[in-house]
Amino acid sequence: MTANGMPASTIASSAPCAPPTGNLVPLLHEIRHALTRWLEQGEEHVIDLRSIPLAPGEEDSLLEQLGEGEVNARLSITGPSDIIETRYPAVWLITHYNENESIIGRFIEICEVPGILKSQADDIRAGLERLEDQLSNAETRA
Amino acid sequence: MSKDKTLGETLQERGVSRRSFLKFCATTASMMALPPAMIPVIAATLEKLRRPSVIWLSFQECTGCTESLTRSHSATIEDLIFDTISLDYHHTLQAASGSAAEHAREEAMQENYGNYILVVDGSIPGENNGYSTIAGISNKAMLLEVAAGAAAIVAVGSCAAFGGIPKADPNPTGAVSVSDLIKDKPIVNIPGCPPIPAVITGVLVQFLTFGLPELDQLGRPAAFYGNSIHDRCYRRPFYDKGLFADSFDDEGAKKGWCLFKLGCKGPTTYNACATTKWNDGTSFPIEAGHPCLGCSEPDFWDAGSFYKALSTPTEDIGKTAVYAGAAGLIAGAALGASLRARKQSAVKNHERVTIDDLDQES
Amino acid sequence: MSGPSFERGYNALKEEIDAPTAAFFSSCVHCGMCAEACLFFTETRDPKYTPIHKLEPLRKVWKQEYTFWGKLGKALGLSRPLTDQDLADWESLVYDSCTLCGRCSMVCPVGNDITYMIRKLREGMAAAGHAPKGLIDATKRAVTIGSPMGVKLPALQAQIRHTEKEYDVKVPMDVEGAEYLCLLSSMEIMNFPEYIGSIARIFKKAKVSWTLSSQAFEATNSGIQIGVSDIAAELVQRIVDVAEELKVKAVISPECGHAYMAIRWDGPNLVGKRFNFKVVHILELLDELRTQGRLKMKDKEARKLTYHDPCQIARRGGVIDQPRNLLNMLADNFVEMPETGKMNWCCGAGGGVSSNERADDLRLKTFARKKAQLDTINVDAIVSACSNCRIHLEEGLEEYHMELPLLSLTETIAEHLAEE
Repeated sequence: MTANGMPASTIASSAPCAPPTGNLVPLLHEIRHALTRWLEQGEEHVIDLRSIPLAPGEEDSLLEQLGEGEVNARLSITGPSDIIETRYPAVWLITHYNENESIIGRFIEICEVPGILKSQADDIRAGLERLEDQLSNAETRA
Repeated sequence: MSKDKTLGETLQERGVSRRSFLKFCATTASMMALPPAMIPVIAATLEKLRRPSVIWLSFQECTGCTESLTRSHSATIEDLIFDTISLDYHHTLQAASGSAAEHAREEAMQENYGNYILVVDGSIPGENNGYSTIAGISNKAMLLEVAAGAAAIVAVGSCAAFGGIPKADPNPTGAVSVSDLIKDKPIVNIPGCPPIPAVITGVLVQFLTFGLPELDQLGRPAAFYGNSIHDRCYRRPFYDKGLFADSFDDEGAKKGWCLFKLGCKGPTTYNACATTKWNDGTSFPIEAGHPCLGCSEPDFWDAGSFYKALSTPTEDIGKTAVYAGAAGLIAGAALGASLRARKQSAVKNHERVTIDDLDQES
Repeated sequence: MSGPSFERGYNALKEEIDAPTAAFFSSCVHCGMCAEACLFFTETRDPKYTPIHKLEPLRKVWKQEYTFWGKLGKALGLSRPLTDQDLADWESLVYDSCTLCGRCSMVCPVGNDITYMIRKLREGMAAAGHAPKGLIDATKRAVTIGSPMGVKLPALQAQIRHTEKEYDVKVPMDVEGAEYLCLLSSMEIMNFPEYIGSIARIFKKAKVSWTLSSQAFEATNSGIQIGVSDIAAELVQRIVDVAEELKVKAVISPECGHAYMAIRWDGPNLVGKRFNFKVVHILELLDELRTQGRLKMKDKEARKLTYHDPCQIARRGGVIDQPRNLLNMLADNFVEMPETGKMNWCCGAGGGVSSNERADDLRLKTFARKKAQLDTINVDAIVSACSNCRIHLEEGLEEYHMELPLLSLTETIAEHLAEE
């Protein structure tokens, strides 16, 4: 039994009285520095939101400030993952869900395209095999 | 899954995409509190991993640790982790029973002697072996036998790690921890009553990918037990300002102030609750308004009332001295040269005090 | 010399402030937990008895002399500098309502050793002439006569003669090469001379080589209580000189709390060098004799007993298990008070409070805490190991109309010694 069945309002009930940790602004600065570094040196950066203490409500407030930009992709891989480019180009918000749609990981990536969004060589190879099989099957049948 | 195939091969065979695998590695890194830069390393190692045999022994315990593990928040991830290992013996989870179960254990031991991982939950009765037996074998005998062929031992839960509740005063069974009995094998302690499920799986994965993790002085993996609850607590700013809840329904409690005075053991408890949290990362005791009980620390059950404010650690004067000493060092550095000069002048101005200098009238 | 002055006191406080003190003051989170640990607060509920508040003059000096904002505030005239009147106002808080029992230091969540700082504050108070009359007089007697109670050698010799006659034992004096130099407290010589007979009998049975010294028999140290390290060092030095002269292996601290703390823990720091002899508390030695099988009892104590831990021996001194081992050997029915060992409550008279008549009413008031502890266990007698605790406990029991005998652990053991 997990908390999945609970209505969201119950889960977030502690939010109104939660004191801020003060980590929000430093986080935004970290993103700013990472963007500068990307422009100057092409260096990519990943922030694991799980590793930073955030009071209830603070993460929502962070997401609100980052907003949503031009790209919004959903991956269907053993539980969905949402890949959203925020209002700031090259600042990506990646949220992994399990099969019950509860969050199991959340990252901010500073890069052109998050690695996981790209097609993967292994998968391309497997896909090519499948296509070839399909074509040869069709030929045999014909 | 065959034991001689690597995890990468097995996953590919089962049609698990590379993206799924990357997602698994990313969430695992997060769970293990590793920097995101480690994700590719985890991926590369896990891919080549041949699944190790795991034998899980349960002694004087309440099955809470297994319950916790099977409620590990991500079904997907858990499946993957269990796919990476071969859980050859586990009382509660295995289908076999009776002599067939014991046979499975013996077989797994024989096949993988010297290479399997032994997971233990529960403490071991020390004085009278009759307090707890399995298939007629005493806990102690079974532990010693299985430990002899293990590559390493993972003690899950406060009972296995430190003795836990069975060891609580007056310790009727003379319960001892795994590390009290086994001295010649690497032991990783994952204390908690129960431990955070993600921490159990996280340590297993960390173990499989990087080998023995960095441990603290109590044998706990530093990645999860490196910070105190207090240091990572979102209510810490109130502690620093001296704002405390004095009862569970006063203004301070309603405003979410620090629960220190209500007995919170956060300052002396090392665990990942404040960041990893519980129940799908929903919350943790302090967020729900209750003080930390310190369940992942040794002898937490005998550390006085859960609701009595912490007066330095449980039974340890030494620690106070260490804190004071450490604080002294920091402030000592901060005093700085000019202040030292100020003090030096005071020392120089010292006139020896004799008994004639004590009376006002003299 | 020049006599006490505010300047000397202020200078002493500046001198006493060290890195731990600075760290302690800057770490205090004002949680107020030390108040609930202090029996002067719990028995009066008066917030002025909050331990950290008793340190206000020292904190002020630290802030104004050693912190940037404090110095700035003082320079700009924003904060009032410390005055002689402040010290005078604090005198009773620092001397009458603190027994240096150390309980507040145990509960401080940030590990502040408040007791350590009270001891430092007393250095400034004494140098500024704000120590209590009773303590000043005791200190003078300790330096000039050799005993805070004014006990002179002939008085001790008379007690020894009496003891030797009564118990048919020899009390060795000034024996060079003895293994142990035994110290006494004036209270034992004057109020509880049975102590001398007790150790003489025990040591005879256990074949311990020991001696008293005619030059340094007094173990107590008023210099520490009043807070003058110069005097404290002088008093410790007397013992060190004699111990070296007699070439003893160890010095035995008597059943007196602060004497043990003075010679064992503060001693080497005061004189500035390592002792070339060991220091043991009499209970440590007795427990050692017990484990060696050298203490044989003829019978057991039938009464239901409890043990009052003297703060300086248990909490500040670490001698906690030894008395319990001895009591379990001695009695079948030994019970603990509710809070005991290192968290025991002070009797209310330590740290110089008993030498300070002004504090008499207050210390008897605080005895209510001990009474409450005793009321929960219903014993036939209390055992302790500090003559100062013992005198005060007896007074307190009388004040609260309680009839309970008070026993010295050493003396009780001597009474039950097996005859050979």
